[in-house]
Amino acid sequence: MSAQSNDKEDLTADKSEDNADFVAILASAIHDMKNSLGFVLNSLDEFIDEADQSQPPERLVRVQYEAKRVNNNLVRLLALYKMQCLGVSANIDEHDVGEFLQECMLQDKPITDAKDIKVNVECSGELMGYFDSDLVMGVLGNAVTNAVRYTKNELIVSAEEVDGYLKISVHDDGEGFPESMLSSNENGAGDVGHGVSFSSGNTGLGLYFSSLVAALHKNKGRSGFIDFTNGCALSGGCFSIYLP
Amino acid sequence: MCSIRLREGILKTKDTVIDYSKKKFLVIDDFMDMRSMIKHMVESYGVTKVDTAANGESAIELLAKNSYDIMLCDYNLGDGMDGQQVLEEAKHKNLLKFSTAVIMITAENTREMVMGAVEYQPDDYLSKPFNKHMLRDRLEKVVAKKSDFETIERAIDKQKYAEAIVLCEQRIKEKPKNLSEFIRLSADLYMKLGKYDDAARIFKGVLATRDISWAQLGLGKTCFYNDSFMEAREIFESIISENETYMEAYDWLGKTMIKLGDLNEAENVIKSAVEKSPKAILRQMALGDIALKKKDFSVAEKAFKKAVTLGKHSVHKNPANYTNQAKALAFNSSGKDAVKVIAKLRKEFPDDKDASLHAAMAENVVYKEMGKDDAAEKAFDEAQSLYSEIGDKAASDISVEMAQVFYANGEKDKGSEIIKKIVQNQHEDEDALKDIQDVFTSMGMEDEGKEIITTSKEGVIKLNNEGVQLGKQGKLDEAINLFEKALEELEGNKVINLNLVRVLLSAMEKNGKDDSQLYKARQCMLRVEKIDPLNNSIPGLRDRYDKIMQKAS
Repeated sequence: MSAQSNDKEDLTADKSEDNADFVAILASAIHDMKNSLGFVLNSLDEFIDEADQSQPPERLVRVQYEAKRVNNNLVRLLALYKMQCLGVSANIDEHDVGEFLQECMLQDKPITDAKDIKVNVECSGELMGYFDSDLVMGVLGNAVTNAVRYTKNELIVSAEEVDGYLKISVHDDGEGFPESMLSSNENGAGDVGHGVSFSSGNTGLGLYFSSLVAALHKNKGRSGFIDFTNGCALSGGCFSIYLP
Repeated sequence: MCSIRLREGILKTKDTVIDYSKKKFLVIDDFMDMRSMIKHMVESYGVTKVDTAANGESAIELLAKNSYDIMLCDYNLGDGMDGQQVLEEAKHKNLLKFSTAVIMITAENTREMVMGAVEYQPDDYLSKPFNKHMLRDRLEKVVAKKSDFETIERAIDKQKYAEAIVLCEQRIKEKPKNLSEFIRLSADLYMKLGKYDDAARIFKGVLATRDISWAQLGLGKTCFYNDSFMEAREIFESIISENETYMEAYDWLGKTMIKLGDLNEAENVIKSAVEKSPKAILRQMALGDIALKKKDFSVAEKAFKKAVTLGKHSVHKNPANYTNQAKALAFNSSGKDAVKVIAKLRKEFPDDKDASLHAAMAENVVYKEMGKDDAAEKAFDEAQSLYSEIGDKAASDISVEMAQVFYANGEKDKGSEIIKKIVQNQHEDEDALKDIQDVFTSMGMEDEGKEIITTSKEGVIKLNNEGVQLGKQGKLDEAINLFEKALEELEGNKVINLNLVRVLLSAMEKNGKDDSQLYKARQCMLRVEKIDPLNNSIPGLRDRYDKIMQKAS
């Protein structure tokens, strides 16, 4: 939490024109890259669809996966730019959680299909939640893309209410998160960086973004957070975001 | 949660509610790659009829020629119109079928930045990036939602708001899927009907569970309309402090600050909103108006210049933006440029009497400021003859301006005559009267303004009270006579028109249907709607009117 607000002050404190120009150019370049990549990704999806359904070419699937990772990173960077520099905040509204999760999973459907990974959503049909759907969708997209890399056959996305929080989790049946990542929880989930590897190699961007989005969700004095555990619904890792 | 329901196999293709082979699509995006990508996506669902447009102008052309079932429009369309403007123009020109589903494609989490006015909102938004599965999912949801809301939307379209509220409340009891949307809509409808306390009750109900921006904004608006400006200000400020990009909160905070008499703060608020979202034409106009009032001419000039440019492709294109820019320029010492702007106005609105009158009045002001008395005199003559041609049909802002021109050119009596008429026609509209008083004050005629406004008001109030009294005593025929007579002089007076409708309806409710009375009531309601399309009394009166119609047949 404190790390986040300090960063924000640093960014707003430095108002030199050049720097602002540079940041704006960086943002618009990222935007442009993201558009191109979006086109590449959708073309790849089409190629893979058109290829032999039962056996999509493995190298193509790998390219698709890596492109998706880059795309996720760019989307996160842009979202961070908007939050930090333009003051865009969470737009919290009520959502049907089950429906929302299904929509989220469609983000990665081309990849889970190509890799033949079974995806299940576990959620009560009546569960409603309060959150910014775009931002949380970004977080879950990252978590799923990450889980896809480590899982063997299956993914579960679950949602439930726990102690007044909406807890959304992504479970995989891979080897689980390394011990080092689990222990970072002792310092609180907002502890960002320090060579953690989460979905974006070791840049820490994914973790940073996810904890920032979680923290933007506040209700009655409580803030959201993220959490890593192993062996919940499936044998592998379990990423959770708690939204108050 | 113990009742976990497993939803399995959802990532296989879902059952579809849409027969895509029959649907006609319009895809609007400035990037060719995006257009062909989206076209490809929808074709993969079985769609065969897809038109594409690279910009707003060609989209409008296509919409005029064809009818579409689904319109997918990117918000950001480069230099010309943006997606919101395309939607506004299409709705304004009635180019969309009632059933046409409109999805606005936006960049990541910028939804509040692009939100337009309530009546011009798309059916849904879709954030980039998306793939064909996500687009399809969204299409299914939008089509389902549209049919879910259909009866309510039809009622709204016919401006039967009370009926729409009843329908909403029925649905809310059933606890439907989109419960919160029905709740939000019912609150918005209460706002439209002017039932602010009912709306506030709903907003407070939502806020009791959770701080949600739209409910906070709604509550702030109810405070504003109930004249609790301090409270409204606090609410709008707190929304902005939570979310700096909630643009609508800035607009309302600006309006509130004007009400509180703090023009400086109003200007600051709208200025910072304009910096964040410079393409909103109405906001630029609001900033220009405040700046003109403050005589902050360089800000006004910039704002109106921007409004002129943005207005080029917009339903909000408006001669006053040109003349306001010109006046700001003239007072800011560039009369030459001001003259050019007015010339542009004349060129862009050929054969438009209102626009020519605007131009002539502004020229009079500008040339006077430049010391070119002959040219000013010529413009004054033109303005006078145009104004008398337009006559009673002149909008009240034009009339106020004309009165100002008369005063400035030494024709006090003619100016006062116009003002008297305007005041009589909107004697109950405090905002309008305050604007008129401001005009007098700015001309250094504060006391004269007060005098003229009070005396013009008194006569109408007295007449109206008499009529109301007669109505209350049940002397309906006498009341009808009185209001009809009053209307001969005061055709544009909303209150008199509405009161005539009321007594006519009461008479028919008592004595049965009468075609000539029905006709008169209808004329009056149409007149009021023309002056004030969102008038709060009309829906209720219309219901009574409809009942009388039905009963008779």
